[in-house]
Amino acid sequence: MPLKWRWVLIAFVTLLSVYLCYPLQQKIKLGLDLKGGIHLVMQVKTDDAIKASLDLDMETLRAELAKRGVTPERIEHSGVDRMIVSGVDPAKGSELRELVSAQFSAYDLSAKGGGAFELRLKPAQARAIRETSVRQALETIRNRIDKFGVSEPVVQQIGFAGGGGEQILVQLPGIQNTERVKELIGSPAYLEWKLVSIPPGYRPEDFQRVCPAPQERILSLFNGSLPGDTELYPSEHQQAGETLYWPCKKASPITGKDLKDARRGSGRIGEAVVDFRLTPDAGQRFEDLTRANEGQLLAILLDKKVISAPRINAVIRDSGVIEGSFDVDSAEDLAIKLRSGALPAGMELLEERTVGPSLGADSIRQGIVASLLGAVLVVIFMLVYYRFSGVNANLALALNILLLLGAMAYFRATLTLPGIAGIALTIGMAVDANVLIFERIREELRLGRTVKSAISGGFGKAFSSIVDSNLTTLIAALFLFAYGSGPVRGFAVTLCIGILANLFTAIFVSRAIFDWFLGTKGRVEQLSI
Amino acid sequence: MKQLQLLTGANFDVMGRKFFFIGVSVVAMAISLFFLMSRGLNYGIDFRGGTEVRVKFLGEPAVEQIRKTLESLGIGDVNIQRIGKAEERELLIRIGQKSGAKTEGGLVGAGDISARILAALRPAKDQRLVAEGKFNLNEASAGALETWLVSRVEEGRKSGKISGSAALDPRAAAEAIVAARDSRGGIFSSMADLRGLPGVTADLQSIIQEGAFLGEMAPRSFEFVGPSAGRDLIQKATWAVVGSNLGILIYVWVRFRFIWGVAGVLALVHDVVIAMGALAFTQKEFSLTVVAALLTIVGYSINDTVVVFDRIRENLRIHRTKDYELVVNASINQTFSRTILTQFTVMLCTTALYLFGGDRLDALSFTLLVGFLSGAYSSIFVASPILVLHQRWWQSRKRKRA
Repeated sequence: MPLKWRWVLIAFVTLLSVYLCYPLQQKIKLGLDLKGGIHLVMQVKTDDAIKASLDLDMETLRAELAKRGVTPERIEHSGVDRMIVSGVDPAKGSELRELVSAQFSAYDLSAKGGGAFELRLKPAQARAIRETSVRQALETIRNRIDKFGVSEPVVQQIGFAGGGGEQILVQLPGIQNTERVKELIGSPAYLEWKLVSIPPGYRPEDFQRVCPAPQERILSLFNGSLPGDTELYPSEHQQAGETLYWPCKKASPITGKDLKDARRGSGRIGEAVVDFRLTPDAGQRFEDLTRANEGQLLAILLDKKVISAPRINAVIRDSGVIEGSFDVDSAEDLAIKLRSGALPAGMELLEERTVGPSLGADSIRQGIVASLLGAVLVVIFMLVYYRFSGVNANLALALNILLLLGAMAYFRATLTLPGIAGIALTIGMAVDANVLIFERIREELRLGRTVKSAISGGFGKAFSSIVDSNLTTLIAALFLFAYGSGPVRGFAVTLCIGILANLFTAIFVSRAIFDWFLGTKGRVEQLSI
Repeated sequence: MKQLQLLTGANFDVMGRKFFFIGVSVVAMAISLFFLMSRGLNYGIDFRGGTEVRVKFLGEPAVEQIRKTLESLGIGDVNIQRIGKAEERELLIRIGQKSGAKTEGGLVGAGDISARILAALRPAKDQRLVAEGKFNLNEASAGALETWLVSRVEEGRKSGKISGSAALDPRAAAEAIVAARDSRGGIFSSMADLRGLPGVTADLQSIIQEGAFLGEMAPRSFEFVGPSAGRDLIQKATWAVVGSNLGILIYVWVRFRFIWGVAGVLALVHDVVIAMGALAFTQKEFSLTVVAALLTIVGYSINDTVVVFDRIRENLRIHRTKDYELVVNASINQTFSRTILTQFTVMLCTTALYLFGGDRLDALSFTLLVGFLSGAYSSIFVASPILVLHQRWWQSRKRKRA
């Protein structure tokens, strides 16, 4: 390539890098370890989802069998993906077989002898349930996080396909309050409305003053035993370590699925509440329910806990208010959770890393000071040792760093603390290619070659060394990227980009500078190297 | 023009002492393996699972009392160490996962580990003040501070303490205060630090003086890794090291010859073992970033080795008839100055990182430092002698056959 065009290309690459990474503070994303923020890795407990699906099928199976006059003694779980139906009348075994093949095709049936049968969820079916529950969890978390108002949050599925892939990574730069985030992400948020059972002889408004109450107290109000349709549900409000309860009807006529919208609002005295709206269909049901039960108490349960039990003062159609002892944050969080729906399966926390902004700032300062110091020392050394050619090497080094930053900005790579170390290392290694070339040129000069042929000989002979040595390093860096997680990836990214930038500057830019030097001086007798 | 030169025209008889150098390496590796076996690596929470909290204290931290409090939580072995300079009053508290203990950081429900630990660390005085309704300025986020300031300003205006016309910007003030706190290492030591901050007017200052206090501690970072996550990370790290070695072996095999690949990889294994031995000896924490350092050593060491190999290959092409050992020795000497120079510049950077990079880069830069030294040694004194020894063995086998 003619020298002129080489300069054009170099100028283009330089300007492009400057454009990409200027202004630095905005263009280079800082990792959580530098900026501060929260990093969470969660495992979706997909076994839960399978169990829940089995629970549902067990109920259906029991009902369907009853229709056919089969009443097994027991239907129970045996392991995550299978259930045992035992005590089936031997004469009715074929009924069971027929039913399973007709309606429960997701299961493999095998006879265990003695009137016992095992239904095992087909592996493909189990896998589908797992995948769906992870996807749904991901979607739910994403919804909740989006509404949290963080800039550039990361919510993604991670881990190997097959063995893992059930892990979810959440990164929230600039957020410090781990508790609130974990609460928001992790809680299932299952909302139900249930009518409160009023003990005989009580008016709802009087009972409202009694409840929530300790278990024995409620039982005594009901004369020792609860009606068949009633169960005790713990209240959110506790008293001196004692759990307080509300007696509620078992049925939940309205649940979170019926919600159309929920948002934070304010009540009569300005306290925080959650306003909700129901779907048209559920609104109709709610209207019927409230009309039939005006004056009664309607308990609102979140995750099986009663958060409040207001009296039905008027017929409510499709919108209402959830009152509780909320503050602004908790009302907002509940509204977010209700809007984003329930989590299909529980989650286990695998990793949690929170870095405060002050620690991040300290790390940046120290990392950058150390890197700059290293760079300055290298620059001085190269100048002292190689004189004019050292200037050349230092120009290449500067361009190298510029390219590195530009590429990082372009790929939206994140600068992490180990990434800074990676840059420092790149600085140390960047001059390696120049050293290889310069030493070769010196050798050629010692052999008595002219400056021109020494330069071209030096570049030519060093070329394969440079390519081989950089590519092997690149292989190691790629493995680092493939298997590294978090900050290690940041290190790998800077190292990879650094190596590629290195190849360009050492072979191409350095050569152009020498050629320009040869071109301007006419016949060059001596080379400062 | 005079050149500044280092070791050009060097002529060391490396090959003549090849058994000595290989012996040195074997002994160094044996010592490393001994430390690895006897002391073992000091696995950080990345691999072992557990909790790590960095807390900065306003006063002198009562280490013994903190240890007792945390031990009484019964969540695992407590290890407390100071970091940074003594006057920084910063503690690194590590709580190793109890073997068999269930992950308590479960997302759902109570018993959340980070909340429990931070609550336990908070001194009684802070807890009392918060219970009295005082605002902890050293633990507040900008958002919380803003909300608090707004409500206080409103109260002040109602009671006439603050004139209705006074210009106040609680958001700007809150942000300035938190930024100032962060630049002071995360903690204010006195209310006087608030003076002169942009947006912090006399009115706001008096509000803060009255209703807020400076908490005794400020959490700087919190890390929790579940035990199963740790196992996963060990597996990945192992694959990364093994995989990159294989990849390099194949590359060198294709570009040179199979035995050269083997020699290069043996040199790599040598460097990694020695770096890990040094880690075991110093008991520096073995974390994910150290794995990154080990892989970088792999990359750097092979880089160095390949440069020497390349010269050997070139010289073998030119001097087909000359003695193999002589050619290898000459090649090493020809690349000597380059090796020293590159090693020197890399060391400049790594040493700067080690001395000034801060404690969070300490283990990383230490590993790099040891590994690079070992890498420079091994490319000259391990990889090349292996080539010569192999050549000799091969020649003698050929002779026997003939």
